[in-house]
Amino acid sequence: MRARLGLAAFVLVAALGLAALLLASATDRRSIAFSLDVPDIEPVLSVEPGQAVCESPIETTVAFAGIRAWPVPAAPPGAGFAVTVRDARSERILATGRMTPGYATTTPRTAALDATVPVGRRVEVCLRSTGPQRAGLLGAAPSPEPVTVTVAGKRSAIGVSLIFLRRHPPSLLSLVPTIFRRAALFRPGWVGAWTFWILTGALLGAFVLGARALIDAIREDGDDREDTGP
Amino acid sequence: MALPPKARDGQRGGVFRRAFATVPRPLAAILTVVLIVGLAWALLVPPWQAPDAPQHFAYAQSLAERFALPVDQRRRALSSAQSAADLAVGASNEAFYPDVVKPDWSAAGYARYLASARSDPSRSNGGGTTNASANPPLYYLYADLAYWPTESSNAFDSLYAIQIWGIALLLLTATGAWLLAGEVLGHRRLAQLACAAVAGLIPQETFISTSVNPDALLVALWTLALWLGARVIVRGAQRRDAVALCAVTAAAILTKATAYALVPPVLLALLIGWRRRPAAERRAMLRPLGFALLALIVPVLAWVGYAKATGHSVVNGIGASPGAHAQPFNVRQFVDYVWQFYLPRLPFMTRFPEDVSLSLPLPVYYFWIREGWGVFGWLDVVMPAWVYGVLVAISALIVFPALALLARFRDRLRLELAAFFALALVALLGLLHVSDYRSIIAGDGPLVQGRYLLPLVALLGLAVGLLLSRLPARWRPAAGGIVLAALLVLQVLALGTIARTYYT
Repeated sequence: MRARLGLAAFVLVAALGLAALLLASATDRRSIAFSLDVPDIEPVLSVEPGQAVCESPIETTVAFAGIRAWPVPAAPPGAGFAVTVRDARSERILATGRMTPGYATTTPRTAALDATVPVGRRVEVCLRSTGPQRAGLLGAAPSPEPVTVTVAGKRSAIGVSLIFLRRHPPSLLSLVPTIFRRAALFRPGWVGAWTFWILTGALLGAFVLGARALIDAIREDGDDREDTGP
Repeated sequence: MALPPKARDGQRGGVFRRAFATVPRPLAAILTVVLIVGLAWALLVPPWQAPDAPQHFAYAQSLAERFALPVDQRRRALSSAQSAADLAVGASNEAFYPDVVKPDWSAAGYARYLASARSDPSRSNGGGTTNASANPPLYYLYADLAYWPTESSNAFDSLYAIQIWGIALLLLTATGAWLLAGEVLGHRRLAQLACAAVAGLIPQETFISTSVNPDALLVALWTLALWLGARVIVRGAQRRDAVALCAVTAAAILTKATAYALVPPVLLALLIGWRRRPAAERRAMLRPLGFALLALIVPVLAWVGYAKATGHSVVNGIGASPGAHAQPFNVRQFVDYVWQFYLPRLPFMTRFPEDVSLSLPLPVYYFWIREGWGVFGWLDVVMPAWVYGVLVAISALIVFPALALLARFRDRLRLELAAFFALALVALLGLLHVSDYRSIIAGDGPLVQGRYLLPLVALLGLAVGLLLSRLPARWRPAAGGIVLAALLVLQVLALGTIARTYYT
C-alpha cells in the first residue's frame, strides 16, 4: 500500500513533468538555420552611410530567409541596412531585405528576405548602410575560413557576426533527429546519431529504474518507524 | 594451493556475485540511473564547453604524454593536436557565445578534421602554463587512466574517454552520499535513496563530473570524507576509519587546494571520535590516530616539497591584474563583502565596483542557488528563468526546515555530527569568500562559482533524507516519489537545455 502511494506520486510528477517538457518543446520554435560562427564580442568595424560590408563565400548548409546582425549605433538613431544575398560565383541576386534604423543601443537587427536562399549554395552577403548615422557591427577577428570580409571594397581581416534564419522555424521537438545528427559529430568514432536515440530510450528507462529504486526502498524500510537514529 | 583454472573462475564469479549481492537493490537501481544520466551528459555536451575544460585537458595531456606538469612558460599552452581539434569544432569561439556561435554542425567539416588528424599533429608539444597549472596533479592522473588507452586516437576520442570516465566519480559521489545517510540517519533506505539521488542527479553535479575538471574528483572525495568523518564520530574513531578519512582528505588536497578547508572538520571529527571512546582506551588510541594523521600529512608534505622544488604553485595564487590597483585586506570591508553576498547592502557599507559579483541584486542567488543547481557551458547556458525561481523555493523548503530540525537536536551525538558538518560548511564557505574577496581587491574580479559549493552536495542530500525520515510514515513514500521524479524531470530539462542551445 505504502509502496503504491510512493509509486503514484512518482508517476504523477514524472508524467506531469515530462508532458510539460514535451509540450514546451513542441511549441518552442527554433529559427536559427546556421551561424557564421563569429562571436559577437565587440564592434569590429565602422560603416558610414552608403558603405557596404560584404562576407563571402558563405556555404548555405540550411535554406534561410532571414539574416541577423548586431549593429552598434555611433549615436542614436542607429543606421538601417539594406541586405543583399548574391550567388558567389554568378553574382546573381538571390534575395534582398532590410534592417530598419532607429535603435538607440546595440540590439540584434533582423532582415526578413524576400526569397528563401536554398541549401548547398555559396553566397555573398552584403549589408549596405542606409544611414542616417555611422554604425559599427559586432564581431571578432579573424574571419572564419574561407570567408573574407570587405568594407567599402577593401579587404579586412575581421569577421562580422551573422546568423541565418529559417522562414518557417520548426519546433524543438521536430528537430530532435537533427540534434542527434549534429551531436554525433566531433565525437569518438563509435558514436553516431543512433547513440543518442539509445540514450533517449535509456533516459526513459531511468524513470522506470527510479520507480524500481523507490519501491525497493519503501519495501526495505517496511515499517512505520517515526524517528531515526542515531 | 593452486586451483585449476575453471575452479578459479568459478570462485571469482562467486566473489563478484557475492559482492553484487551485498549492494542494496535501491542503491543498485539509483546508481544505474546515475550511470545513464552521466553517459548522456558525457556525450551530449560539445567538446570543451565546460569551465576551463581546454586547460584541464591540456594538463592531463601534458602529464600523459610528457610525464611533466604544465608549468613551462616557453611551451605552447595547448598541443598542436588539441589546438587543431579546438579550431575544427570551433570550441574556443563558442565559449561564452553559444547563442551566436555553434559547434561545427557539418559532416563535411568533421570529415575535413578527420583527414587532417591523419597527419598526426603533435600531442606532446603542449605543457605550457595555463590557469589550471596551479592545481595539484591527482585528478589529471585519474583522467589519464582514460587518456592512455585512446592516446593514439584523435583528441576527441581522448576527451570523451575522460568525460565518460568521469561517470565513475559521479557514481562514487552518489554511493558516498548513500553511505553518509546510512551512517547518520540509520539504515533508512528511502532517506538513503533520496540522499544518493540528490548528490548524483543535481544537474550541475552531473555536468561537472562528466566534464574534464578536477572538481569532479574533489566532489567525490569530499563526499567520502563527510561519510568517513561521520563514521569516525559515530563509531568512536576506529583505526581503519581514521586512516581512511585522513587518506581521503590528503587525496582531496592533492586534487585541488580548496580541500585544505577539509582539514579543520576532519581534525574535529578525529577529536570527537577519540573523545567518544571509553576513557580507558583513549591513551592507547593516540598512537593509531597519530598514524592516521600521517596518512594526511605525508602525502601533502611530499606534494608541497615536490611543488616547491619544481617551482610549481602549492595553492592557486591570487595576484593583482596588470594595471589594477590592488587594495590591502581589510577585515571590516571583508565583513561588508560577506554581508552583501547574502543580504542587501546597508547604507553605511562599502560600495564595491559595478563589475564585481556584489553588484548583482543578491549574489547568493546567482552563485549558490542558480549556478549551484545548474548553469552549464562556460556559465553561459541557462535553463528557463522560472526554473530557477522554483529551485529557490525548493532550496528554501529543504534548508530552513532542516535547520529547524537541527535546532531541536539535544543529544550529544547529533550535536557532534551537526558540529562536524557545520564546520565543513563554514570552512569551505570561509575559504571561498576569503579567496573571492582577495580576488576582488586585487582587481581580478570575482572568483566564486556555484560549482565550488558542490563538495557539500551530500549535505544537501542529507538534509533531504533527514526531512523525509521525519515526515509522518504515511507521507514518506509519496514525498520520496516526488523527490526522485522531480530530480529526473530536472535532468531531462537540463539535458534538453544543452541540446537546444548547442544544436539548434
